[in-house]
Amino acid sequence: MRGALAVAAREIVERKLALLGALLAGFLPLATPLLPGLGGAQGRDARFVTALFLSLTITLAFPLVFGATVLVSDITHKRLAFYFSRPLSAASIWAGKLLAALVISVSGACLAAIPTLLFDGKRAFAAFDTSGPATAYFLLTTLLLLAGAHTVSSMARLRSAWIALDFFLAALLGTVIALSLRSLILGNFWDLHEMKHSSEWLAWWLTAPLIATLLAASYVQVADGRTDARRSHGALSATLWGLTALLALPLAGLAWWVGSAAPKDLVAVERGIQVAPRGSWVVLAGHVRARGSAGAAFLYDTVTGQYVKLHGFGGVAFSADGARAVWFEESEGFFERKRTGALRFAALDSARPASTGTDVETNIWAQLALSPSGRRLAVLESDRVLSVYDLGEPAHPKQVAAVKLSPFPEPAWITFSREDAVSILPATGGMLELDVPSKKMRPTDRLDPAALPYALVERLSGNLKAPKMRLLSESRVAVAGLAEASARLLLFEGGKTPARAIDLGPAARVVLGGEIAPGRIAVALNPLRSNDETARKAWKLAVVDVRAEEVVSSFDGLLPADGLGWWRSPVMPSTEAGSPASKLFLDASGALVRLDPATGKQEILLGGKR
Amino acid sequence: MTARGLSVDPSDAIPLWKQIEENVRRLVASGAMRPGSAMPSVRDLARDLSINPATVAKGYQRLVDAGILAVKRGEGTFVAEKPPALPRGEREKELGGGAMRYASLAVTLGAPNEEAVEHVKRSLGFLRKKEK
Amino acid sequence: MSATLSTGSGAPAAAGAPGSSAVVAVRDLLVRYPQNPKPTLEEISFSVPRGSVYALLGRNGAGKSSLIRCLLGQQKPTAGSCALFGGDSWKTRGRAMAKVGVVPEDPDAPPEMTARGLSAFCARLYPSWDGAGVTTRLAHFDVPATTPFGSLSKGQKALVSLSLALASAPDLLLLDDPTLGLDAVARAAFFDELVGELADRGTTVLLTSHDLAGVEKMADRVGVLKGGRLVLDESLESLKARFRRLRYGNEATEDPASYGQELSAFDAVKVKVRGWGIEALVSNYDDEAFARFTALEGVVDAEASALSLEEIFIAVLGEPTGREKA
Repeated sequence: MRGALAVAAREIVERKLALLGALLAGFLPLATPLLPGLGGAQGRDARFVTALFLSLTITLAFPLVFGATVLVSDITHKRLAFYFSRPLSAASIWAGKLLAALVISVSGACLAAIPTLLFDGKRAFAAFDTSGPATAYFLLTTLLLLAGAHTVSSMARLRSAWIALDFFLAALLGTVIALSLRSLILGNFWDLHEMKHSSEWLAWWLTAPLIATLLAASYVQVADGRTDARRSHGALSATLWGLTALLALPLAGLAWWVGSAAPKDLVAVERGIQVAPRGSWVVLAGHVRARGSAGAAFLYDTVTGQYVKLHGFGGVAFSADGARAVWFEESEGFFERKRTGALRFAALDSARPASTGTDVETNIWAQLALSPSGRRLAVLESDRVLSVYDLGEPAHPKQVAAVKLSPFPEPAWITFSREDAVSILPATGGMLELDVPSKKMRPTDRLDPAALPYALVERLSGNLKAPKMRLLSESRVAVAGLAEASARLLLFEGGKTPARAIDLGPAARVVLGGEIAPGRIAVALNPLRSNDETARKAWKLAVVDVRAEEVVSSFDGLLPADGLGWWRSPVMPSTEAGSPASKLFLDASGALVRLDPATGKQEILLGGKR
Repeated sequence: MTARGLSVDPSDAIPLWKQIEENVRRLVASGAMRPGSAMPSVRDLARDLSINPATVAKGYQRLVDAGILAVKRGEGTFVAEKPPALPRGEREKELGGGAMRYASLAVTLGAPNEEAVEHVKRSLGFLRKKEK
Repeated sequence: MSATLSTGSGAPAAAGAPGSSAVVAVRDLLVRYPQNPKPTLEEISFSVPRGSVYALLGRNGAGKSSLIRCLLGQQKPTAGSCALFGGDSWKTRGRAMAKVGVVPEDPDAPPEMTARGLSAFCARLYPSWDGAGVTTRLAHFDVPATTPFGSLSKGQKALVSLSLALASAPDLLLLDDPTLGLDAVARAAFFDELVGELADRGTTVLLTSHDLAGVEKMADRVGVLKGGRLVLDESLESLKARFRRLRYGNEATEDPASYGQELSAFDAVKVKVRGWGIEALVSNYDDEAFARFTALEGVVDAEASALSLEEIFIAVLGEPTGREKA
C-alpha cells in the first residue's frame, strides 16, 4: 500500500503539467463570448457549449492517453526495471500506476470543469445529474477507457507475435459470446423487456466483468511479465483470453443448455396447447425448466414422443387429417426477432417428421388454412391479400391464386370450404368465397357451419354467457356456456335449435372439450373464477353421454388440454371423436395427461410442476 | 600508486596481497618502515591503490601472522617493535623461491654465473649497510 | 579448460558449492527466446559468496543482460534457478530488492526526476535510507543534484545510480558495466567510493565491466560468458597464476608446422610463429614445469611473462588453441 502510494505520487507528479493544461484549457471557453459576433446570451450559449465539448474531450482523452502510456511506455522504453529493482511488490507497481492514471484522468476532467462551474455553475448542474449513479458511471467509464487503452496499447506496442493470437482469439471468443448472447436473447432467457433498457443492468452486467477482466489481465501482465516485453504481452493475452474464455464457455454452455430444451423440459404448458384435429400431434409452447424465463415450442406426438422444434411462430395450421402442419416461423435479426417469417412445413405422417423451410415469407401473424387434403394452403396477410398455394412440392409452394381483398369488408376468418374454394368471413357483412381455379370472389349465402363459426356461436348460444363451441362430426355442433350460475351444454344436430340442452349444475367457469368417444362429450366445470392453486384443483371434468343426457363419469382436477390455450376463440378446434387427441387433458399440476375414459386411468405425458 | 613506497602492479602474475606482503617485508627489512611506525589503514591503502580492501586486509593479516605487523586494538596497525626472523624452514622456502625467480632472470638474460652472484652480493651489501 | 580449477588459499568457495553463505547462487540456468533456436544462456551455474567481488565478463551479446535480469527477478528463467540470499529471485524479488543496490547498464530512472527527487522517492521504499550520503557522494562525484536525470551524461547517470544504490546500505551491489562512459576522473571517484563501501561494509559485489584493468584490481573471482555458456569461473588469483606468455626459440626442428609440440605440459591457448621465434599463450603454467621446459633440447632463450586480465580475457575468448603466423 505504502509502495503503491509512493509509485502513484511519483507518477502523478511526473504528469502534473497535464493537470495544469486541463485547468488552463478549462478557461478557454470563457473567452468564447469575446469572439466577434458572439455577445450577450448567444455568447453565453457558445461558452457553455464549448465548455461542454471541452469537458467531454478531456474526460475521454485523458484516460485513453494515460491508460495507453502509463505502463506500456515504461516497458517499451525499458524503464520499468527502475521499479522492479526496488523493494516494491508487483501489486504496488501495478496499483500505483493504475491509481495515478485514474487520479489524473478524474482530476483532469474536474479541473477542466472548474472555470465553467464558476461562471455557468447553475446551468452545468442543471444539465448533469451529479448524484450517485452519474458519478459511478463517470468512474466506470474512465476505468473502462483506461483499462481498454492499456490493453490495446500493450498489444500494439509490445510488438510480440502474440498479437496474431490476440486477433484470432478476439474474433473467436467475440463470436462465441455474441452468438451465445444472441441465442439466449432470442430464446428469451432474459426477460429483456425488463432489462434491456435498464442502463444500470448494462453498466453492471456488461461493463463490470469487462473492466474486471481487463484489470486482472493488466495485473498479471505486471506481476508475471515484469520488465520482459514479450512475456508481458503473453501474460496479458493469456489472462485476458483465459478469463474471457472462462466467461464465454459457460455462456456458450448456457446457450446450448437453453437451446437444447425438449418437450419433457416444458413447464406450465397449459396456455400453449393446440391439438391437431386428428391423430396424436399437439403444439406445445411454454416455459422450460431451469432456464430462466426462456420458452420453447414444439410439435409433439403424444403417442411416439417425436417432436419438431418451433422457433417463434404465430400459430399452426393442421390439415383435416392431422398429417400435415404449416406455420410461419420468425426470421431472426442479430439480437431481435422480426415479425416477418418464413413459412415452414412438416409432414407429420412421415417416419421422422422434420421442419422444412419454404420460400414463402410474410408476417408471422398471417392467418393460415389448409385444404381438407392438406395439398392447398391459404394465407391471409394483414394487408388483406389472400394467397393460395399448391403444396405439391412443400419446399417450393406454388402460388395458384392471389386476391386483394381491399374492395371487400375486412376479413376475420378463412377456411377451405372445398378443395378449390376458400370461404372468407368478414368482420361484418355477408360471407364471401374465392373460387381458386377462376380466382373470382363471389358472395355466398350458404351457411356452412365450418365457414361461419363466429356467427354460429352467437346465434346458437342464445343467452349463454362465455359460450364455447366445438364442431363435431356429422354436422353436429356442441356449445357450452353459463346460464345464470349454472353450466349448460347444447347439442345441435343440423337444426337451428338445440336438439338437446343438458344442465350440468352450478359453475363459475366452463370449458368445452371434444368428443372423447362417440356420443360422449367432455366438459370441465369450476365453481371458482380465480386462477390460483385452489381454483386449479377445483376443476371437475364431466363426461356427458349426449343421448342419455347425463354425466356418466367425472374426474377431479382435469380440463381439456386446449381449453386454456392462448389462441382460444369461441370456436374450439375440433378433434375427431375418440382420437388420441380428444383424450388429452391437463391435470391440477399443469401436466399433460392422457385419459382413458373407460378405466379412468390417467397417463402423464409431460410433467407439470410450474 | 604508492603509499610510502608501497606499490602494486595488478597485471603482474603475483597476487596483489602477496605483492603487498612482499613489499612491506622489503620496506621493513630495508628500514624504510621503522619498527613501531603506523601502517596506513586497510581502507586508506585500498583507496590509494584503488584495489579491493579485502586484498589489502589479507596481505596485512599474513604480515601480522608473521609478526612483522602488530595490531593495536583501537589504534590501528603498526610495524612490530621487533620483526622476527623467519623460522628456518620458512626462511629456506622464501629464499629458495626468490632465488629461483632471480636465477630464471639471470639464465634468461644469459648472464654468466659469476656476474649473477656478484649482483646478489652487491644488493646484500647495500641493504646491510642501510640496516646499520 | 577447467572452470572450477582453484588454487591459492585465498580463493573464495568454488562455484557449485551450495551453502546459505552464497549471496548469489545460479543453478543450471537456461534462458531461451522463442525467436532464437540456440539458447541465450545454458548450463550456467555459479555462486557469489558473502563479501566477495565477482566479475562477470563477456563480449556484448554473450547473455550478460539476460543473466542479470534473471538474477534480479525481472525475467523468469526458461529452466534452472537464480537465488538471492538463498531465496528464488523470481519469487522473492520484492523482499530481496530491499538488500540489493543496482547500477543498471541502461539507466532506467524516470528522465524528468532530479537526483534529489529520486533519493526522496527511494527514501519512501527502503527500510533505511541515507539521504545525506547521496548528497555527499553526488558532491564528491561533482554531479548536480537538481538536474533532471534525463539531462545528465551517461557517466553522471551511472554515478547517480551508484549513489542511490549505496544509500540503502545494500548487502549486494549489482553493478552492470558501471564505468562505461566515465572519464578518468569520474572513474577514479567511482572506484574510490566502491573501495570505501567494500572496506566499511564488506558488501558483496557482482559486477560486469568492459574495464578489465579496473576489474583486475577489485575482483576476487571472475566468470566469463561466451556464446551463452560460462566458460570460466575461477578465482582471479588462480587464473593469473596459470596463464603466461612464453617466448622462445626452437632449434630442434626446421618445420614450423611442428612448432608448439613441446608446449604440451602448458596447455597452449594460442601459438604464434614470429620472425625471432615462437610466442605462446599457455593456460597451465607452473615454475617447475617451466624450469624443465627451458632445459629441453632445442629450446633456447625461453622467457615467461605474466598476462594481464585483459590478455587472458582475449585468450579465453579467442580461438581455442589457434595457430597463426605473423
